[in-house]
Amino acid sequence: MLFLIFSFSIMRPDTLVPIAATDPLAQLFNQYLKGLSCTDSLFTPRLSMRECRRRFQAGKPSPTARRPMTEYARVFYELTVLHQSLHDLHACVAGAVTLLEDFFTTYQGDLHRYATENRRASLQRYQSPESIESEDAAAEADEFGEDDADSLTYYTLQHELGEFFCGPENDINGEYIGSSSSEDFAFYTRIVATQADHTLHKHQAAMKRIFPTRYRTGPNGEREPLPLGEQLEEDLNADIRNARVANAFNHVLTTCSAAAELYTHLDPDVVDDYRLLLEGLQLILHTTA
Amino acid sequence: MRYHILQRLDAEDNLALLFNAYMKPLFMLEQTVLPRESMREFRNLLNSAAGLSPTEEAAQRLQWAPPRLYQLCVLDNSLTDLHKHIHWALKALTKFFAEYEGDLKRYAIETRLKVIDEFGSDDETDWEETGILDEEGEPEWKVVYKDDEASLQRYSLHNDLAQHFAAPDTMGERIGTSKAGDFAYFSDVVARATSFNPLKMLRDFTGKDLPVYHPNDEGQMIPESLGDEVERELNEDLRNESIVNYFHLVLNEAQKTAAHYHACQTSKDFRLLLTQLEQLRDVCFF
Repeated sequence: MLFLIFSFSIMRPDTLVPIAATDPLAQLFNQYLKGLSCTDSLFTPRLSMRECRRRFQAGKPSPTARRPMTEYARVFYELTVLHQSLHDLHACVAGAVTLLEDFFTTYQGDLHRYATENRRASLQRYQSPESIESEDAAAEADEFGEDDADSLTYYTLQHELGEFFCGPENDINGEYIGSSSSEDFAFYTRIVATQADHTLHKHQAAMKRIFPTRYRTGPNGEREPLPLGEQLEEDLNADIRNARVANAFNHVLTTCSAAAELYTHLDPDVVDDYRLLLEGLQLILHTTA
Repeated sequence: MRYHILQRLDAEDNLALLFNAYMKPLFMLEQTVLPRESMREFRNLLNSAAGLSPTEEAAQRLQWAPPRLYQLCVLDNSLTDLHKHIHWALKALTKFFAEYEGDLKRYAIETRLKVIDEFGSDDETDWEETGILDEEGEPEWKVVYKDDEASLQRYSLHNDLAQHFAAPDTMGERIGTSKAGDFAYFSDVVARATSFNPLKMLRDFTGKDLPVYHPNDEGQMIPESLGDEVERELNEDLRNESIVNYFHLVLNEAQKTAAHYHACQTSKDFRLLLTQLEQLRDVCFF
Protein backbone atom coordinates (compact mmCIF):
# COMPACT_ATOMS: atom_id res chain seq x y z
CA MET A 1 0.00 0.00 0.00
CA LEU A 2 2.70 2.45 1.01
CA PHE A 3 4.72 1.55 -2.04
CA LEU A 4 1.74 2.28 -4.27
CA ILE A 5 1.27 5.70 -2.75
CA PHE A 6 4.86 6.73 -3.29
CA SER A 7 4.90 5.56 -6.89
CA PHE A 8 2.36 8.17 -8.05
CA SER A 9 3.53 10.79 -10.45
CA ILE A 10 1.40 13.48 -8.81
CA MET A 11 0.81 13.57 -5.12
CA ARG A 12 -1.58 15.69 -3.18
CA PRO A 13 0.34 17.42 -0.43
CA ASP A 14 -0.43 15.85 2.92
CA THR A 15 -3.20 17.15 5.11
CA LEU A 16 -0.97 17.97 8.07
CA VAL A 17 0.95 21.04 6.95
CA PRO A 18 3.56 22.31 9.44
CA ILE A 19 3.07 25.63 11.21
CA ALA A 20 5.08 28.43 9.63
CA ALA A 21 6.60 29.94 12.78
CA THR A 22 9.89 29.57 14.59
CA ASP A 23 8.89 29.68 18.26
CA PRO A 24 9.39 26.53 20.38
CA LEU A 25 5.64 25.78 20.56
CA ALA A 26 5.38 25.76 16.76
CA GLN A 27 8.42 23.44 16.64
CA LEU A 28 6.80 21.11 19.17
CA PHE A 29 3.49 21.03 17.27
CA ASN A 30 5.39 20.41 14.03
CA GLN A 31 7.25 17.49 15.62
CA TYR A 32 3.88 16.14 16.73
CA LEU A 33 2.44 16.53 13.21
CA LYS A 34 5.53 14.87 11.74
CA GLY A 35 4.95 11.91 14.05
CA LEU A 36 1.57 11.43 12.38
CA SER A 37 2.91 11.57 8.81
CA CYS A 38 2.39 7.84 8.26
CA THR A 39 -1.28 8.04 9.29
CA ASP A 40 -1.56 11.17 7.19
CA SER A 41 -0.22 9.46 4.06
CA LEU A 42 -2.60 6.55 4.49
CA PHE A 43 -5.73 8.63 4.92
CA THR A 44 -5.19 11.64 2.63
CA PRO A 45 -7.30 10.86 -0.45
CA ARG A 46 -5.36 9.92 -3.57
CA LEU A 47 -8.01 8.02 -5.49
CA SER A 48 -9.46 8.92 -8.85
CA MET A 49 -13.07 10.10 -8.84
CA ARG A 50 -14.10 6.85 -10.48
CA GLU A 51 -12.44 4.63 -7.87
CA CYS A 52 -13.76 6.84 -5.08
CA ARG A 53 -17.37 6.58 -6.26
CA ARG A 54 -17.02 2.83 -6.79
CA ARG A 55 -15.71 2.26 -3.28
CA PHE A 56 -18.28 4.48 -1.59
CA GLN A 57 -21.06 2.73 -3.48
CA ALA A 58 -19.71 -0.73 -2.69
CA GLY A 59 -19.98 0.18 0.99
CA LYS A 60 -17.88 -2.74 2.14
CA PRO A 61 -14.08 -2.94 2.13
CA SER A 62 -12.45 -3.88 -1.16
CA PRO A 63 -9.56 -6.38 -1.33
CA THR A 64 -6.99 -3.56 -1.55
CA ALA A 65 -8.52 -1.43 1.22
CA ARG A 66 -9.02 -3.12 4.54
CA ARG A 67 -11.37 -0.49 5.91
CA PRO A 68 -14.75 0.72 4.65
CA MET A 69 -14.66 4.10 2.92
CA THR A 70 -16.72 5.75 5.66
CA GLU A 71 -13.88 5.07 8.06
CA TYR A 72 -11.30 6.52 5.67
CA ALA A 73 -13.53 9.59 5.40
CA ARG A 74 -13.94 9.86 9.18
CA VAL A 75 -10.20 9.65 9.87
CA PHE A 76 -9.47 12.16 7.11
CA TYR A 77 -12.06 14.49 8.63
CA GLU A 78 -10.53 14.02 12.07
CA LEU A 79 -7.02 14.73 10.73
CA THR A 80 -8.40 17.95 9.25
CA VAL A 81 -9.85 18.84 12.65
CA LEU A 82 -6.51 18.06 14.30
CA HIS A 83 -4.59 20.10 11.75
CA GLN A 84 -6.82 23.12 12.26
CA SER A 85 -6.76 22.66 16.03
CA LEU A 86 -3.00 22.84 16.33
CA HIS A 87 -2.72 25.77 13.91
CA ASP A 88 -5.49 27.68 15.71
CA LEU A 89 -4.22 26.89 19.19
CA HIS A 90 -0.73 28.07 18.26
CA ALA A 91 -2.16 31.27 16.76
CA CYS A 92 -4.22 31.89 19.93
CA VAL A 93 -1.27 31.43 22.31
CA ALA A 94 1.03 33.56 20.15
CA GLY A 95 -1.68 36.20 19.71
CA ALA A 96 -2.49 36.43 23.42
CA VAL A 97 1.22 36.71 24.32
CA THR A 98 1.74 39.51 21.78
CA LEU A 99 -1.31 41.38 23.06
CA LEU A 100 -0.26 41.09 26.71
CA GLU A 101 3.37 41.98 26.02
CA ASP A 102 2.18 45.02 24.11
CA PHE A 103 -0.01 45.95 27.07
CA PHE A 104 2.95 45.85 29.46
CA THR A 105 5.39 47.67 27.17
CA THR A 106 3.39 50.18 25.09
CA TYR A 107 0.75 50.91 27.73
CA GLN A 108 3.01 50.22 30.74
CA GLY A 109 0.35 48.08 32.36
CA ASP A 110 -2.22 50.89 32.54
CA LEU A 111 -5.61 49.22 32.06
CA HIS A 112 -7.61 52.43 31.73
CA ARG A 113 -5.20 53.96 29.25
CA TYR A 114 -5.27 50.75 27.21
CA ALA A 115 -9.09 50.75 27.02
CA THR A 116 -9.44 54.44 26.08
CA GLU A 117 -6.71 54.35 23.45
CA ASN A 118 -7.97 51.07 22.08
CA ARG A 119 -11.47 52.57 21.78
CA ARG A 120 -10.21 55.64 19.98
CA ALA A 121 -8.08 53.61 17.56
CA SER A 122 -10.95 51.26 16.88
CA LEU A 123 -13.43 54.09 16.25
CA GLN A 124 -11.00 55.78 13.89
CA ARG A 125 -10.47 52.55 12.00
CA TYR A 126 -14.17 51.96 11.41
CA GLN A 127 -15.24 55.56 10.96
CA SER A 128 -16.38 56.68 7.55
CA PRO A 129 -13.70 58.70 5.75
CA GLU A 130 -15.81 61.90 5.90
CA SER A 131 -16.08 62.00 9.68
CA ILE A 132 -12.33 61.49 10.09
CA GLU A 133 -11.71 64.50 7.91
CA SER A 134 -14.04 66.69 9.96
CA GLU A 135 -12.09 68.59 12.53
CA ASP A 136 -14.49 68.05 15.38
CA ALA A 137 -14.28 64.27 15.17
CA ALA A 138 -12.10 64.11 18.27
CA ALA A 139 -14.29 66.64 20.07
CA GLU A 140 -17.35 64.61 19.16
CA ALA A 141 -15.80 61.48 20.54
CA ASP A 142 -15.15 63.30 23.80
CA GLU A 143 -18.76 64.44 23.91
CA PHE A 144 -19.94 60.85 23.77
CA GLY A 145 -18.12 60.19 26.99
CA GLU A 146 -14.90 58.33 26.31
CA ASP A 147 -14.02 57.63 29.87
CA ASP A 148 -17.00 56.06 31.53
CA ALA A 149 -16.92 52.33 32.16
CA ASP A 150 -19.95 51.61 29.97
CA SER A 151 -18.52 52.90 26.72
CA LEU A 152 -15.22 51.14 27.44
CA THR A 153 -16.79 47.70 28.04
CA TYR A 154 -15.93 46.36 24.60
CA TYR A 155 -12.44 47.84 24.55
CA THR A 156 -10.97 46.52 27.79
CA LEU A 157 -7.95 44.24 27.81
CA GLN A 158 -10.09 41.45 29.25
CA HIS A 159 -12.54 41.78 26.37
CA GLU A 160 -9.77 41.85 23.75
CA LEU A 161 -8.21 38.70 25.23
CA GLY A 162 -11.56 36.94 24.88
CA GLU A 163 -10.97 36.04 21.25
CA PHE A 164 -8.12 33.72 22.22
CA PHE A 165 -9.84 31.83 25.03
CA CYS A 166 -12.60 29.31 25.23
CA GLY A 167 -14.79 30.93 27.86
CA PRO A 168 -18.35 30.15 28.91
CA GLU A 169 -19.72 32.88 26.62
CA ASN A 170 -17.43 31.99 23.71
CA ASP A 171 -19.80 29.55 22.01
CA ILE A 172 -18.27 29.85 18.55
CA ASN A 173 -16.99 26.50 17.32
CA GLY A 174 -13.32 25.95 16.91
CA GLU A 175 -10.12 25.58 18.84
CA TYR A 176 -9.13 28.21 21.41
CA ILE A 177 -6.95 28.13 24.50
CA GLY A 178 -8.66 25.67 26.81
CA SER A 179 -11.10 24.19 24.26
CA SER A 180 -9.67 20.68 24.31
CA SER A 181 -7.82 18.66 26.90
CA SER A 182 -4.97 16.21 26.36
CA GLU A 183 -7.47 13.29 26.50
CA ASP A 184 -9.14 14.58 23.36
CA PHE A 185 -5.85 14.06 21.51
CA ALA A 186 -5.01 10.80 23.34
CA PHE A 187 -5.46 8.54 20.30
CA TYR A 188 -3.07 10.54 18.15
CA THR A 189 -0.62 11.26 20.97
CA ARG A 190 -0.23 7.50 21.37
CA ILE A 191 0.63 7.16 17.69
CA VAL A 192 3.24 9.91 18.05
CA ALA A 193 4.76 8.26 21.14
CA THR A 194 4.97 4.78 19.62
CA GLN A 195 5.81 5.74 16.03
CA ALA A 196 9.20 4.00 16.20
CA ASP A 197 7.36 0.65 16.39
CA HIS A 198 5.99 1.26 12.92
CA THR A 199 9.13 2.12 11.00
CA LEU A 200 9.79 0.40 7.70
CA HIS A 201 12.64 -1.78 8.93
CA LYS A 202 10.57 -3.08 11.85
CA HIS A 203 7.81 -4.09 9.46
CA GLN A 204 10.38 -5.79 7.25
CA ALA A 205 11.71 -7.63 10.25
CA ALA A 206 8.22 -8.77 11.21
CA MET A 207 7.31 -9.87 7.71
CA LYS A 208 10.52 -11.61 6.71
CA ARG A 209 11.37 -12.79 10.22
CA ILE A 210 14.90 -11.50 9.77
CA PHE A 211 16.69 -8.57 11.26
CA PRO A 212 17.51 -6.37 8.26
CA THR A 213 20.88 -4.65 8.30
CA ARG A 214 20.69 -0.91 8.60
CA TYR A 215 23.35 1.36 7.19
CA ARG A 216 24.86 4.63 8.14
CA THR A 217 27.03 7.04 6.25
CA GLY A 218 30.66 6.77 7.32
CA PRO A 219 33.11 9.67 7.68
CA ASN A 220 34.22 9.31 4.03
CA GLY A 221 30.69 9.21 2.68
CA GLU A 222 30.57 5.43 2.23
CA ARG A 223 27.76 3.25 3.53
CA GLU A 224 28.67 0.93 6.35
CA PRO A 225 26.46 -1.50 8.26
CA LEU A 226 25.31 -0.38 11.68
CA PRO A 227 26.31 -2.79 14.48
CA LEU A 228 23.37 -4.46 16.25
CA GLY A 229 24.15 -2.70 19.52
CA GLU A 230 23.99 0.69 17.87
CA GLN A 231 20.75 -0.25 16.10
CA LEU A 232 19.15 -1.02 19.45
CA GLU A 233 20.51 2.19 20.90
CA GLU A 234 19.13 4.16 17.97
CA ASP A 235 15.67 2.63 18.45
CA LEU A 236 15.80 3.34 22.15
CA ASN A 237 16.74 6.96 21.54
CA ALA A 238 13.91 7.34 19.02
CA ASP A 239 11.46 5.97 21.59
CA ILE A 240 12.71 8.37 24.23
CA ARG A 241 12.58 11.31 21.82
CA ASN A 242 9.01 10.51 20.75
CA ALA A 243 7.84 9.96 24.31
CA ARG A 244 9.21 13.38 25.18
CA VAL A 245 7.29 15.02 22.32
CA ALA A 246 4.09 13.31 23.52
CA ASN A 247 4.69 14.34 27.13
CA ALA A 248 5.47 17.93 26.24
CA PHE A 249 2.35 18.03 24.08
CA ASN A 250 0.16 16.77 26.92
CA HIS A 251 1.80 19.29 29.21
CA VAL A 252 0.97 22.14 26.81
CA LEU A 253 -2.71 21.19 26.70
CA THR A 254 -2.93 20.85 30.47
CA THR A 255 -1.29 24.25 30.91
CA CYS A 256 -3.65 25.71 28.30
CA SER A 257 -6.64 24.50 30.34
CA ALA A 258 -5.10 26.09 33.43
CA ALA A 259 -4.52 29.38 31.54
CA ALA A 260 -8.14 29.37 30.36
CA GLU A 261 -9.23 28.82 33.96
CA LEU A 262 -7.04 31.72 35.04
CA TYR A 263 -8.55 33.94 32.36
CA THR A 264 -12.12 33.08 33.35
CA HIS A 265 -11.48 33.92 37.00
CA LEU A 266 -9.22 36.94 36.68
CA ASP A 267 -10.24 40.21 38.27
CA PRO A 268 -10.50 42.58 35.27
CA ASP A 269 -9.10 45.48 37.30
CA VAL A 270 -6.04 43.78 38.78
CA VAL A 271 -2.91 44.20 36.67
CA ASP A 272 -1.07 41.40 38.48
CA ASP A 273 -3.64 38.87 37.27
CA TYR A 274 -2.77 39.76 33.69
CA ARG A 275 0.93 39.48 34.48
CA LEU A 276 0.36 36.00 35.87
CA LEU A 277 -1.56 35.07 32.73
CA LEU A 278 1.23 36.40 30.52
CA GLU A 279 3.84 34.40 32.43
CA GLY A 280 1.76 31.24 32.05
CA LEU A 281 1.27 31.79 28.32
CA GLN A 282 4.96 32.58 27.79
CA LEU A 283 5.79 29.24 29.42
CA ILE A 284 3.46 27.50 26.98
CA LEU A 285 4.96 29.31 24.01
CA HIS A 286 8.45 28.20 25.08
CA THR A 287 7.72 24.54 25.78
CA THR A 288 10.21 22.23 24.13
CA ALA A 289 10.30 18.46 23.87
CA MET B 1 -5.12 30.36 8.73
CA ARG B 2 -8.16 28.67 7.25
CA TYR B 3 -7.80 25.35 5.59
CA HIS B 4 -9.17 24.90 2.08
CA ILE B 5 -9.89 21.78 0.09
CA LEU B 6 -10.75 23.27 -3.28
CA GLN B 7 -8.02 25.26 -4.95
CA ARG B 8 -8.57 27.17 -8.16
CA LEU B 9 -6.31 26.11 -11.01
CA ASP B 10 -3.60 28.65 -11.60
CA ALA B 11 -3.72 28.68 -15.41
CA GLU B 12 -5.31 30.71 -18.17
CA ASP B 13 -6.28 28.09 -20.74
CA ASN B 14 -9.95 27.35 -21.46
CA LEU B 15 -9.84 23.99 -19.74
CA ALA B 16 -8.65 25.61 -16.50
CA LEU B 17 -11.36 28.27 -16.84
CA LEU B 18 -13.98 25.56 -17.27
CA PHE B 19 -12.71 23.61 -14.25
CA ASN B 20 -12.61 26.78 -12.16
CA ALA B 21 -16.16 27.65 -13.23
CA TYR B 22 -17.25 24.13 -12.25
CA MET B 23 -15.59 24.49 -8.85
CA LYS B 24 -17.03 27.93 -8.11
CA PRO B 25 -20.51 26.83 -6.98
CA LEU B 26 -18.87 24.07 -4.92
CA PHE B 27 -17.15 26.55 -2.59
CA MET B 28 -20.52 26.88 -0.83
CA LEU B 29 -20.61 23.11 -0.31
CA GLU B 30 -17.02 23.22 0.90
CA GLN B 31 -17.99 25.73 3.58
CA THR B 32 -20.68 23.41 4.91
CA VAL B 33 -18.48 20.31 5.10
CA LEU B 34 -15.22 21.83 6.36
CA PRO B 35 -14.74 21.00 10.04
CA ARG B 36 -15.47 23.83 12.45
CA GLU B 37 -15.03 21.73 15.58
CA SER B 38 -12.29 21.76 18.15
CA MET B 39 -10.77 18.39 19.01
CA ARG B 40 -13.05 18.13 22.05
CA GLU B 41 -16.18 18.99 20.08
CA PHE B 42 -15.29 16.29 17.57
CA ARG B 43 -14.74 13.72 20.38
CA ASN B 44 -18.14 14.70 21.80
CA LEU B 45 -19.69 14.36 18.37
CA LEU B 46 -18.25 10.86 17.98
CA ASN B 47 -19.41 9.90 21.44
CA SER B 48 -22.91 11.21 21.01
CA ALA B 49 -23.21 9.46 17.65
CA ALA B 50 -22.04 6.07 18.91
CA GLY B 51 -22.58 6.20 22.66
CA LEU B 52 -25.34 4.67 24.76
CA SER B 53 -27.95 7.22 23.72
CA PRO B 54 -27.00 8.29 20.21
CA THR B 55 -28.45 11.60 19.07
CA GLU B 56 -29.78 11.90 15.56
CA GLU B 57 -28.14 15.26 14.98
CA ALA B 58 -24.64 13.94 15.70
CA ALA B 59 -25.21 10.82 13.61
CA GLN B 60 -26.42 12.93 10.72
CA ARG B 61 -23.45 15.31 10.86
CA LEU B 62 -21.04 12.36 10.91
CA GLN B 63 -22.82 10.61 8.07
CA TRP B 64 -22.97 13.74 6.00
CA ALA B 65 -19.82 15.80 6.42
CA PRO B 66 -16.81 13.39 6.43
CA PRO B 67 -17.69 11.49 3.22
CA ARG B 68 -18.36 14.76 1.42
CA LEU B 69 -15.15 16.31 2.66
CA TYR B 70 -13.27 13.25 1.43
CA GLN B 71 -15.03 13.28 -1.95
CA LEU B 72 -14.47 17.00 -2.33
CA CYS B 73 -10.76 16.39 -1.79
CA VAL B 74 -10.84 13.63 -4.42
CA LEU B 75 -12.62 16.03 -6.78
CA ASP B 76 -9.95 18.66 -6.28
CA ASN B 77 -7.20 16.09 -6.92
CA SER B 78 -9.01 14.85 -10.01
CA LEU B 79 -9.41 18.24 -11.65
CA THR B 80 -5.83 19.27 -10.83
CA ASP B 81 -4.35 15.98 -12.02
CA LEU B 82 -6.43 15.78 -15.19
CA HIS B 83 -5.40 19.32 -16.11
CA LYS B 84 -1.73 18.56 -15.44
CA HIS B 85 -1.74 15.28 -17.36
CA ILE B 86 -3.30 16.91 -20.41
CA HIS B 87 -0.62 19.61 -20.33
CA TRP B 88 2.27 17.19 -19.78
CA ALA B 89 1.10 14.95 -22.61
CA LEU B 90 0.74 18.00 -24.85
CA LYS B 91 4.24 19.16 -23.96
CA ALA B 92 5.75 15.74 -24.73
CA LEU B 93 3.92 15.49 -28.06
CA THR B 94 4.74 19.05 -29.11
CA LYS B 95 8.41 18.39 -28.37
CA PHE B 96 8.23 15.17 -30.36
CA PHE B 97 6.99 16.96 -33.46
CA ALA B 98 9.26 19.97 -33.04
CA GLU B 99 12.57 18.31 -32.10
CA TYR B 100 12.24 14.88 -33.69
CA GLU B 101 10.09 15.96 -36.65
CA GLY B 102 7.63 13.17 -35.93
CA ASP B 103 10.27 10.44 -36.36
CA LEU B 104 9.30 7.70 -33.88
CA LYS B 105 12.48 5.66 -34.34
CA ARG B 106 14.81 8.63 -33.93
CA TYR B 107 12.91 9.61 -30.79
CA ALA B 108 13.40 6.17 -29.27
CA ILE B 109 17.10 5.93 -30.23
CA GLU B 110 17.97 9.35 -28.82
CA THR B 111 15.84 8.91 -25.70
CA ARG B 112 17.59 5.61 -24.98
CA LEU B 113 21.06 7.17 -25.24
CA LYS B 114 20.02 10.09 -23.02
CA VAL B 115 18.32 7.97 -20.35
CA ILE B 116 21.14 5.41 -20.05
CA ASP B 117 23.77 8.15 -20.00
CA GLU B 118 21.94 9.86 -17.13
CA PHE B 119 20.54 6.98 -15.09
CA GLY B 120 22.91 4.12 -16.07
CA SER B 121 22.16 0.57 -17.12
CA ASP B 122 23.01 -2.85 -15.67
CA ASP B 123 23.29 -4.38 -19.12
CA GLU B 124 27.00 -4.69 -20.05
CA THR B 125 26.27 -4.61 -23.79
CA ASP B 126 25.00 -1.05 -23.35
CA TRP B 127 28.51 0.28 -22.74
CA GLU B 128 31.69 0.53 -24.79
CA GLU B 129 35.07 2.20 -24.35
CA THR B 130 35.62 5.43 -26.21
CA GLY B 131 39.32 4.63 -26.66
CA ILE B 132 40.29 7.80 -24.84
CA LEU B 133 41.81 7.84 -21.35
CA ASP B 134 40.55 10.37 -18.80
CA GLU B 135 42.74 12.50 -16.48
CA GLU B 136 43.41 9.59 -14.11
CA GLY B 137 44.41 7.30 -16.94
CA GLU B 138 41.18 5.26 -16.72
CA PRO B 139 39.38 4.36 -19.96
CA GLU B 140 36.26 6.45 -20.69
CA TRP B 141 32.94 4.71 -21.40
CA LYS B 142 30.03 5.69 -23.57
CA VAL B 143 26.59 4.29 -24.34
CA VAL B 144 26.45 1.87 -27.27
CA TYR B 145 24.26 2.95 -30.21
CA LYS B 146 21.46 0.47 -30.76
CA ASP B 147 18.48 0.61 -33.08
CA ASP B 148 16.95 -2.85 -32.87
CA GLU B 149 13.29 -3.13 -31.84
CA ALA B 150 13.91 -5.02 -28.59
CA SER B 151 16.41 -2.52 -27.12
CA LEU B 152 14.24 0.47 -28.05
CA GLN B 153 10.96 -0.88 -26.74
CA ARG B 154 11.27 0.77 -23.33
CA TYR B 155 12.13 4.15 -24.81
CA SER B 156 9.29 4.61 -27.28
CA LEU B 157 7.08 7.69 -27.32
CA HIS B 158 4.11 5.47 -26.56
CA ASN B 159 5.86 4.27 -23.42
CA ASP B 160 6.77 7.78 -22.32
CA LEU B 161 3.16 8.92 -22.65
CA ALA B 162 1.73 5.93 -20.76
CA GLN B 163 1.87 7.68 -17.36
CA HIS B 164 -0.67 10.27 -18.51
CA PHE B 165 -3.41 7.93 -19.72
CA ALA B 166 -5.79 5.65 -17.89
CA ALA B 167 -4.99 1.95 -17.99
CA PRO B 168 -6.15 -0.98 -15.86
CA ASP B 169 -4.47 -1.19 -12.44
CA THR B 170 -3.52 2.48 -12.26
CA MET B 171 -4.48 4.62 -9.31
CA GLY B 172 -5.14 8.32 -9.26
CA GLU B 173 -6.69 10.49 -11.94
CA ARG B 174 -5.33 10.36 -15.48
CA ILE B 175 -6.72 11.21 -18.89
CA GLY B 176 -9.77 8.99 -19.35
CA THR B 177 -9.94 7.53 -15.83
CA SER B 178 -13.27 8.91 -14.65
CA LYS B 179 -16.50 9.21 -16.57
CA ALA B 180 -19.14 11.92 -16.34
CA GLY B 181 -21.29 9.67 -14.15
CA ASP B 182 -18.58 9.53 -11.48
CA PHE B 183 -18.99 13.26 -10.92
CA ALA B 184 -22.81 13.01 -10.83
CA TYR B 185 -23.18 14.22 -7.24
CA PHE B 186 -21.08 17.35 -7.74
CA SER B 187 -22.48 18.07 -11.21
CA ASP B 188 -25.93 18.06 -9.67
CA VAL B 189 -24.84 20.60 -7.03
CA VAL B 190 -23.33 22.83 -9.74
CA ALA B 191 -26.39 22.65 -11.99
CA ARG B 192 -28.73 23.56 -9.12
CA ALA B 193 -26.40 26.13 -7.53
CA THR B 194 -28.88 29.02 -7.85
CA SER B 195 -31.37 27.35 -5.52
CA PHE B 196 -28.63 26.92 -2.89
CA ASN B 197 -27.99 30.66 -2.91
CA PRO B 198 -27.23 31.76 0.68
CA LEU B 199 -29.35 34.90 0.29
CA LYS B 200 -32.40 32.82 -0.64
CA MET B 201 -31.83 30.56 2.34
CA LEU B 202 -31.67 33.63 4.54
CA ARG B 203 -34.94 34.87 3.03
CA ASP B 204 -36.65 31.55 3.70
CA PHE B 205 -35.22 31.49 7.18
CA THR B 206 -36.15 35.05 8.20
CA GLY B 207 -39.36 35.25 6.13
CA LYS B 208 -38.31 38.77 5.16
CA ASP B 209 -38.01 40.39 1.77
CA LEU B 210 -34.27 41.00 1.39
CA PRO B 211 -33.62 42.97 -1.79
CA VAL B 212 -30.40 42.78 -3.76
CA TYR B 213 -28.85 46.10 -4.65
CA HIS B 214 -27.04 46.91 -7.88
CA PRO B 215 -25.47 50.20 -8.93
CA ASN B 216 -27.26 51.97 -11.78
CA ASP B 217 -25.63 54.08 -14.47
CA GLU B 218 -25.22 57.04 -12.13
CA GLY B 219 -23.58 54.86 -9.51
CA GLN B 220 -26.56 54.89 -7.16
CA MET B 221 -27.49 51.63 -5.44
CA ILE B 222 -30.99 50.61 -6.42
CA PRO B 223 -32.86 47.46 -5.37
CA GLU B 224 -33.27 44.74 -7.97
CA SER B 225 -36.84 44.22 -9.16
CA LEU B 226 -38.43 40.79 -9.04
CA GLY B 227 -38.45 40.63 -12.83
CA ASP B 228 -34.71 41.37 -12.98
CA GLU B 229 -34.01 38.80 -10.31
CA VAL B 230 -35.94 36.07 -12.11
CA GLU B 231 -34.10 36.89 -15.30
CA ARG B 232 -30.70 36.92 -13.58
CA GLU B 233 -31.36 33.57 -11.93
CA LEU B 234 -32.54 32.09 -15.18
CA ASN B 235 -29.30 33.22 -16.80
CA GLU B 236 -27.29 31.77 -13.93
CA ASP B 237 -29.18 28.50 -14.20
CA LEU B 238 -28.50 28.33 -17.91
CA ARG B 239 -24.85 29.17 -17.39
CA ASN B 240 -24.38 26.55 -14.68
CA GLU B 241 -26.16 23.95 -16.76
CA SER B 242 -23.95 24.78 -19.69
CA ILE B 243 -20.82 24.47 -17.51
CA VAL B 244 -21.90 21.00 -16.40
CA ASN B 245 -22.63 19.98 -19.99
CA TYR B 246 -19.23 21.12 -21.21
CA PHE B 247 -17.54 19.49 -18.23
CA HIS B 248 -19.19 16.19 -19.12
CA LEU B 249 -18.23 16.70 -22.74
CA VAL B 250 -14.57 17.08 -21.72
CA LEU B 251 -14.72 13.85 -19.69
CA ASN B 252 -16.32 11.95 -22.55
CA GLU B 253 -13.76 13.28 -25.01
CA ALA B 254 -10.97 12.36 -22.57
CA GLN B 255 -12.26 8.77 -22.65
CA LYS B 256 -12.05 8.73 -26.43
CA THR B 257 -8.60 10.32 -26.38
CA ALA B 258 -7.35 7.64 -23.97
CA ALA B 259 -8.79 4.91 -26.21
CA HIS B 260 -7.09 6.50 -29.20
CA TYR B 261 -3.79 6.70 -27.31
CA HIS B 262 -3.79 2.95 -26.66
CA ALA B 263 -4.26 2.33 -30.40
CA CYS B 264 -1.56 4.83 -31.49
CA GLN B 265 1.14 3.29 -33.67
CA THR B 266 2.24 5.63 -36.44
CA SER B 267 3.43 9.20 -36.36
CA LYS B 268 0.12 10.15 -38.00
CA ASP B 269 -1.77 8.58 -35.08
CA PHE B 270 0.23 10.69 -32.64
CA ARG B 271 -0.49 13.80 -34.69
CA LEU B 272 -4.21 13.08 -34.26
CA LEU B 273 -3.64 12.51 -30.52
CA LEU B 274 -2.00 15.93 -30.30
CA THR B 275 -4.98 17.52 -32.05
CA GLN B 276 -7.42 15.80 -29.69
CA LEU B 277 -5.48 16.98 -26.62
CA GLU B 278 -5.36 20.52 -27.99
CA GLN B 279 -9.12 20.40 -28.43
CA LEU B 280 -9.49 19.33 -24.80
CA ARG B 281 -7.28 22.20 -23.65
CA ASP B 282 -9.04 24.77 -25.83
CA VAL B 283 -12.60 23.68 -25.03
CA CYS B 284 -14.93 26.56 -25.86
CA PHE B 285 -17.72 26.94 -23.37
CA PHE B 286 -20.81 29.19 -23.27
